[in-house]
Amino acid sequence: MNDQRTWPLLLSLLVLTAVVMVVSLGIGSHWISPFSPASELDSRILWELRLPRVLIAFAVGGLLALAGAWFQVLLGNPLAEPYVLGVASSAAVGAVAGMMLFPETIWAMSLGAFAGAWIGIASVLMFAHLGTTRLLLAGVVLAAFWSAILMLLLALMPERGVALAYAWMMGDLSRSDIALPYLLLVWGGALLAGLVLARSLDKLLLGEKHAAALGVDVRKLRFGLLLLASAVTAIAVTAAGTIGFVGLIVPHLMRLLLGSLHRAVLLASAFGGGILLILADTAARTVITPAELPVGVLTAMIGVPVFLWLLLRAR
Amino acid sequence: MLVIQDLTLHRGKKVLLSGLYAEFTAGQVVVVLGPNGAGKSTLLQSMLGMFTPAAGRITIDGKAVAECSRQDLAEKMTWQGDLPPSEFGLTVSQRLHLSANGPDEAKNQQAMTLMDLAKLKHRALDALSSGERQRVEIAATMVRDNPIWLMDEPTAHLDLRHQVDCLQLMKKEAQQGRLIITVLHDLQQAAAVADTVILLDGNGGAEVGVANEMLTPEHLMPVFGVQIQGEGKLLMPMYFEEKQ
Amino acid sequence: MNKLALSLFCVFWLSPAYAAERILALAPHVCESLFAIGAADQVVGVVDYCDFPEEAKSKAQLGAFHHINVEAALALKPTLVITTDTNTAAIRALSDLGVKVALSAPNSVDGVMQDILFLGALTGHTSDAEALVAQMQQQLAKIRAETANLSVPTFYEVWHQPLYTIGSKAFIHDVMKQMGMRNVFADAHMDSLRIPMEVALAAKPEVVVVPTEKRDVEARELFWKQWLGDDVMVLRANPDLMHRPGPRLIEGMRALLLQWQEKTAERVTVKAL
Repeated sequence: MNDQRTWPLLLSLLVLTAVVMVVSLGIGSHWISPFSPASELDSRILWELRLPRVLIAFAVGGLLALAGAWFQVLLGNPLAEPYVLGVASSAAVGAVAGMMLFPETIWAMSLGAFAGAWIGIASVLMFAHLGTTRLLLAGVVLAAFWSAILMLLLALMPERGVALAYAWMMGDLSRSDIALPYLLLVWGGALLAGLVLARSLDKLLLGEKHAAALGVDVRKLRFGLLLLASAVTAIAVTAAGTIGFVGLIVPHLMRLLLGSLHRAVLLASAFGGGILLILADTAARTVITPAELPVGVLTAMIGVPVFLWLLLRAR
Repeated sequence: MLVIQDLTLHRGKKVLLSGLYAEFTAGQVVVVLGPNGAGKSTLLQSMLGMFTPAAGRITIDGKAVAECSRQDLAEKMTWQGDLPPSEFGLTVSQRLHLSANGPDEAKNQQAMTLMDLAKLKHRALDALSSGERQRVEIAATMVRDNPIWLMDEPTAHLDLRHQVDCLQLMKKEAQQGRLIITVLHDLQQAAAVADTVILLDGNGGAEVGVANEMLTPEHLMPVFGVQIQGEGKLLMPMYFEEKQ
Repeated sequence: MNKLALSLFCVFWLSPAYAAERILALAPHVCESLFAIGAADQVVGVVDYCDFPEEAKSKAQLGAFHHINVEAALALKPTLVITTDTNTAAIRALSDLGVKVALSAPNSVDGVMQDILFLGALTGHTSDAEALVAQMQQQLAKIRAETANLSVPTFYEVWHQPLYTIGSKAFIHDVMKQMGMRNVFADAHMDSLRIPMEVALAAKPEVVVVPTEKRDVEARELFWKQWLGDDVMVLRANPDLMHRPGPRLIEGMRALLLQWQEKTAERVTVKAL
């Protein structure tokens, strides 16, 4: 927990990111050495299929972990997650609605996800001043509500749409139409914003009154954080569908390793989330070959036991 | 240093305080006394700008609290209040660092030594007892080197030894030029440290005065509604009716 | 299990003389088959996508495949419901109220023929059904003859984002097999599967079949050519014909084959030049 451990740990995380990226690039239907692909086709598979996928996984994983860390401070509850608050579900509703209303428009789904996320945030915001317990409860109820809406939309969709919407809902990192530089930029921007706010976030861990007494404009910080965290969630959902529990596991692990101060936790989560999602996706596309699993299935399989364990441990 | 003019505080429809005037100079301990729910903590929070008064104003060094930024206020006043939540696993030393207004390691060490926390330095807050956490909060007040300390029941949870340490600290800091405004419940403790007393009656009324004039059975009995005996620094509530 | 149910129904209904039924046709192919064998007037209710022939659209609409409006269905006083899945709440409800239930879920080209005969028997249009099947068999035999020696590795693009294809349990798997196309994911014993793009590439298909629905087929053709080279043949399948195990299936197979033959001929010409 002391500072002498922080930098070596962050540095090893950076090295681990590089190693995981290189190894995941090599793994697939067959091993391709990232340094000397055997053929023209292998080289194209490496750079045009595997690399974008690894980078999308990295950015989305990092964004989900950052959003999770922010939601946890916001709600003063280490078990909070965009999923728990229903923001991920509302983004999914928006995406499916967009897909249904304008099936021929590529942007409909992305814009729908954004709109859905904003509506989700707005609904959660109405409960923000009522305290953590009620906010969380409202989040759970809202999540159930959004799931119900989602079910309604899917029931209205043709058969194939149902299967595909489900696939997308559990996460899909294979999208080739993602503006990758933009996504990586968002990752960087989100991390930067997190680091700028780190000290205020730390103070918010002491509760609203203590934070205010220490000079934090709590209302402004909370509002900004909620918007930031939800915008990041919407971008992650738009890019890769709804992938759960990364925002829970990663910040938790990083707090265990590095303590609670946010400069270290956010920096480590941005990379740790990336690493986790790259690993999960590499497993997802190889374990039941030739078929692949939706990556959200894997993160849920890791995340749910972790969540329950934390729930049992918490008093 | 701190001036209160015509301060009126409402909580919902209840009038906590109505038209309070007071002026406090540096170098004294002001004790706020009053029954539960009378608005003692609310009074401290209104000084911090965290509770908006229904009327009146509070100024610090000539500047109205309502017009100061949170950052300005945080550099004038330190607040000690409820135990902060401990779910996120902050350690004692991290807690102190969050309060410190500069990276002054010597000051942190001094505060930890005084509050008996040296051995607990790297422990997480949720692994401490309430009394230990209360000591952390007092140490956190110490490391924030502000001219005004607002302390809400600083001796709560503490054992006798640390209660005495805490009161001695307050007295010493006031003598060195700080203004300390504190909420206390124990009349003995109030009598021990108070230079000035604010007595809230819970119905909007308040009296401000020099400690030894205020801390008399005549003043206190109507406010608390109990029999009090003794005088000077030895005030005792009567727990049972005296048998003949 | 399905076959057992099917034969049980056959035994049950082939013996007595048939009264005209009031039929709920709960799948597009059922609707098409019933119309094709002249049992249109017995159909009282249909579901979404029962859009062929044109007259089918005038029948009462009951909702989606597995989520029909049971009350609306009962109001039609049905005597027989024909479904692709007997294990749904709606079907159980109808069955409990005395409506006979028949299963029609053919999963192979031969299955389609048998299904039409079965529907003929159910509705008293045995000879119409037999005539239709004979005609289909004849056309199928031609297709088989033209593609007898072929086993061309073929990838069927069920969906492109994420990429889905079919396994050996899919209806299309058998349809392709009947016309000389070998499903490159025949080893996957499932209906459909999501796969990474590189796995599709590793399977080295020579033909890619793209259904013409909900995607930019031109873009898909370009995409596949970028990855598999100009030699790959990208064919377009009409999903209304190919995905429905009904009377128009052979027509769809013929259209796909024609496309394939034309492209092959073009290529031969180009090479010759």
